[in-house]
Amino acid sequence: MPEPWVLRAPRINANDDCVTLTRWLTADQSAVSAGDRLAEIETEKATSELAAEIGGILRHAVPAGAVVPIGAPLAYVGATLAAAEDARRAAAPPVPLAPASPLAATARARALAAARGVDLAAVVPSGATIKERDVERHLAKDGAAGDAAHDPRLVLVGEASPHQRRVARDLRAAAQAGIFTTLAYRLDLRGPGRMIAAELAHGRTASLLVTLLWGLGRTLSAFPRLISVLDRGMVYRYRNVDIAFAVRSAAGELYAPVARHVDRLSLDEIARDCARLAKQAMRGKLDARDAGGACFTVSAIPTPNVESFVALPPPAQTAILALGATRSEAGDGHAGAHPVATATVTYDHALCDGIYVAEFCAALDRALNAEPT
Amino acid sequence: MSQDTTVLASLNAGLRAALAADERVIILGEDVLDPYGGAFKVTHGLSAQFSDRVLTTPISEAGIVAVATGLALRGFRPVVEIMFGDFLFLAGDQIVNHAAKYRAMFNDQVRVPLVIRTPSGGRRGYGPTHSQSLEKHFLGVPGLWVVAPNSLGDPGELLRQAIFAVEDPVLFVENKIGYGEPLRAAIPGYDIVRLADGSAPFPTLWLQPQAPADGLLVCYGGMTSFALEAVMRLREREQLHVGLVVVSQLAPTPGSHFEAVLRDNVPAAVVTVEEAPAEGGWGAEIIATIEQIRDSRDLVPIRYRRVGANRTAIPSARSLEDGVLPQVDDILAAVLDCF
Amino acid sequence: MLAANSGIRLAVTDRGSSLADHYRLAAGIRAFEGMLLDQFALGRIGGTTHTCIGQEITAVAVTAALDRERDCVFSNHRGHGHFLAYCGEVFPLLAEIFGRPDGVCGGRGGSQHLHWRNFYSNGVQGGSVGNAVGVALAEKTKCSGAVTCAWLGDGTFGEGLVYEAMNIASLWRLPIVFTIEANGIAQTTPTEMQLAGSLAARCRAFDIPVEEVSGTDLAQTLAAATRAIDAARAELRPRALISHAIRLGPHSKGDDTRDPAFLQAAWSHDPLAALRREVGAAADAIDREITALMHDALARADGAVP
Repeated sequence: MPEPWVLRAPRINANDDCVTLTRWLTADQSAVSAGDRLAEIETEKATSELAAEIGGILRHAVPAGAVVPIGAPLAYVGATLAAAEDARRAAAPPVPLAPASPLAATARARALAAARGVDLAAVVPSGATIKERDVERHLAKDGAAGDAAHDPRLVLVGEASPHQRRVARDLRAAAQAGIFTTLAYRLDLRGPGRMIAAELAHGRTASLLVTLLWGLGRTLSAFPRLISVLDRGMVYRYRNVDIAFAVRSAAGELYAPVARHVDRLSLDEIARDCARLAKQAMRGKLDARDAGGACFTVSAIPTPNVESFVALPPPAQTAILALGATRSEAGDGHAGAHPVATATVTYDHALCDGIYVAEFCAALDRALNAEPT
Repeated sequence: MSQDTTVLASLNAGLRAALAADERVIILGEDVLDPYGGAFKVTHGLSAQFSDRVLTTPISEAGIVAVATGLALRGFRPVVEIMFGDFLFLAGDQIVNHAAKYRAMFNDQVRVPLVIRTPSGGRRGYGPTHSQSLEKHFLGVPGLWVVAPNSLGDPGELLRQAIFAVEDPVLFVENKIGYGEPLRAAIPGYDIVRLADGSAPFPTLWLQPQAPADGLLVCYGGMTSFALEAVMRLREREQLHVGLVVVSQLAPTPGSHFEAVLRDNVPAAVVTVEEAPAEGGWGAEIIATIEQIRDSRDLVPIRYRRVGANRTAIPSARSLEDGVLPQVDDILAAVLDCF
Repeated sequence: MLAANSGIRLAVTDRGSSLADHYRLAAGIRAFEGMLLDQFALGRIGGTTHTCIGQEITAVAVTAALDRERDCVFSNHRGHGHFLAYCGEVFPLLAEIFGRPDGVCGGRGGSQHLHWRNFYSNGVQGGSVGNAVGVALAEKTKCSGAVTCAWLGDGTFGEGLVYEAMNIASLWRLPIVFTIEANGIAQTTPTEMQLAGSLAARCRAFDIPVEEVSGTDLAQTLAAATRAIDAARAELRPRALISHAIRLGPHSKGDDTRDPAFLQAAWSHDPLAALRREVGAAADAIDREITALMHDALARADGAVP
């Protein structure tokens, strides 16, 4: 019986020391004749086909898609299947006697790592077992050096903080997920002003942001597309009206604590909840239950003269409202100037159109400025 | 309560004190007389001191509980010992259809202040019919209290509370291997809060970690030492701060105690620990209670797990038994599964 | 709660009572039970009940021999006769079965779960016997001198607890009289299909002296009960009394599967009728009294709850 023949990865060009076996042209364990095309390989510059040099039974040594060093075996052709198999096994690396000890990680950690393509071996565990929070921490630190490192016009300032990395990663992901455009609306702030005064009269504090959250709570449910997301052709709507609002900590980090169920709470309850959340966010210490899962976000830059600004919705949200500074303007029809501000709503055009968003803004304005009953 | 006292010594002292304090206390059970002093020695020394009120009985679990029920109806405070918790069902009809019902059936005109003590649990290789924790089947019987001492409280005091402070039948479930445990008053790294009130008089011990609690373990009786070991290991090895709720009143469920624990704590995970199979058991009752308490409050979902025995007859061989009954590693795995 | 002063009650009897008095009580029990079955048939009472028709004389005779000041009674599911013989409280019992709050147990216990002074009952076969032994132990411990009368039937001897109870009662020398109403049937099962050996041998097996009487003969039953109760009290030992009397009514309602010819024959030897004949002329007036009493009780039970 002739010796089994080995198909090895050929050197196609001088520069490459690997080839990729892109696909098999003949199935594993099938009978072949000399000259039959067995496999397609690819290098940096070219694609080639490899043929059998003898007839016999083919046994694959690597799967399709494998990247193989030059000279490594790709397949064996033997007079019999057994002969080809023996040759293959003899060349294969020894199977370890004991399986490698599995990485100690909880089921939730594994699930998150799998979903986000994280290699568990790279995660630093808190204690003996990798937990979900450890993978989350790892994700926040993700990053890789690129061309900027070699650009002589740039000077290295330092490593991006975990916070910066997270924000960058999240916004990039969000921008790719939707088709965003913006509508600007001039909000009448007399109503909010009245509400704030009324609260003060009762010895309670409420801010413009709080009145906005209250108004959104009363308006969003009527505009479900703004709190829906598109995922693989299906439209999903958030069950709860939980709204995130942007808070900048003393360290300059942006947090988005979530006021939950604002549609069910009174103005005072929202005010107290926001005060608590803002305080925690300012210290950079948000609880897991106070972040994430929001259906909508509000951001405000009250710096005087900022007419308006455009914000980007975070991942898993379809719209965000950004409020500029309060200014005084003469309204149409009514005597005298009154406070207004420009609110921009950036929204995913895949789900909403401009008219819908305009109607939403008008409804919000009405809710905020309705005369108290 | 000295640090050298064991659960057994505390129970024995509690019975002795009860007999001394009130002539209406009568002890009945199989093999309770000295010098043997009971199969687990809980009644040791008592018949020598109170010969007329410590009665040894024939092997008649139903008869003993029936007689004790009659005694209780006529003003006595009997304390019956059922030698192994596995034998409870022999007296089941008397417990459920007689002792627990007379007060209600007779329109509150009588009282049945009866205590039925029994050792529950395995880990001694006693085999399938002498190792079970059957108290779960007596939860929710109207008119019946189910109480379990543990090594963190004062078992003797708990027993006296069962005898004197309630006027209804109490199933007092002790733990076989728990008898030898020394009593512990303090646990390093934890503040112990004792919860008890009019609606739930048998105390729950709330071991609060000195950092915000990541999660809660809830246990009773013999599993307390396992749960304690687990919380220690979780803190040292996994940097998880887990609080421990040690319940002594299994039925009626002490909802008010859980309200107190949950008032300022929103744990991410709650793991219940019992020696019996968890299915249809005490842990399920606790989880339902916690969820109903939280119903109107914040809505972050809690991750729940129940740790209990495998659903099979407890094997006799110790090595096989260890594989069936819950161990510390099972508690660790259940907690980690939530993180 | 308990309408103790309702005034609608039968006079109870003791060892010195006249035949006419005993008859009044027994006839009163009969009338009560009959009234109950009628009310059930009319759909005015719900649930179930177990009447003691044909067994009234045993109830009257044994209870008469007790010391009502201190003796205790633990009855069973078929306990109306035992209850009325003990305290005569017709209206509270009727109200209880009607489910009224002014019933013996506020409507909570019903026909089978009664408690009044030292009288207890539980419908669970065998269970009440075990509790009765406990009651006897309590009274002995208190040195009250009380005797406990535990009512059971031949069918009850199917339950293991009866044997445990008798064993303990004899072992611990307790003042209890096991009064066994052997009526030849357990629900729909005749004695010969459910009992091996004999009732008397069972009692003797536990060293419990036993006497058997004809439960249709008031004088004989009263004498035997007197002996048993006095002995139990004096010797602090259990006694047993087996009283034979045929159950003339169904087990509960409409579940009598016995041969109609048998029942007809049994009714023709109704012991209450025989007692009535013995009482003679006075019986008519007594019967009218009873009828009026039951009528008043029913009228009251139909009325508003106070």
